[in-house]
Amino acid sequence: MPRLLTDPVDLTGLVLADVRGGDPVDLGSLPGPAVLATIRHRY
Amino acid sequence: MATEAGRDVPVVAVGFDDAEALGLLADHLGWTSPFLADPDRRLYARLGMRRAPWWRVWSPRTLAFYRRALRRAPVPRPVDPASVDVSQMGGDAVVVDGEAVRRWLPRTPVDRVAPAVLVAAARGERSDGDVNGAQTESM
Repeated sequence: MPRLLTDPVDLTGLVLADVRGGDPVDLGSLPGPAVLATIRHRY
Repeated sequence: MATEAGRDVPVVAVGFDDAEALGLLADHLGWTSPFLADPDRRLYARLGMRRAPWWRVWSPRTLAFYRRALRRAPVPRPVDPASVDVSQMGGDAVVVDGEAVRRWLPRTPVDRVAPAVLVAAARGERSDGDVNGAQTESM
């Protein structure tokens, strides 16, 4: 089962490009709440 | 997941491959929410999502999971399989106003928390460790 960590992590300064050419997203400015799903490899 | 959860809670996907390859994956999945590229793995590092040891990556359970997944919905094969970093782990987080307030870190590649749990946590519904089916730790 996954470990659940509850200490807050500041995402300020993380600006990532949209893979389909959309506007870059500043994760530090994400209005909440939102879910971030980070994947492993693409295959 | 994007179509189920994205109605009231934004779900942002992030991958570490190059944007072109991830774009193909997003199209393949029919992903309608934002899909971001993090080739330097800065988000992964900040959230504590590390590379797994080989015995967790190549476990019988993991191999069986991917065999079933490939039968259900084959994905495009990599041009250069050796370039694929199978050890990098993913994970999930709930973000509130620019802070990841909850992070679920898998112990194996197939050890992910259920989408319904993530959405419930984002909505502020019951989100303690027992309800989530995860062991709660803080660092």
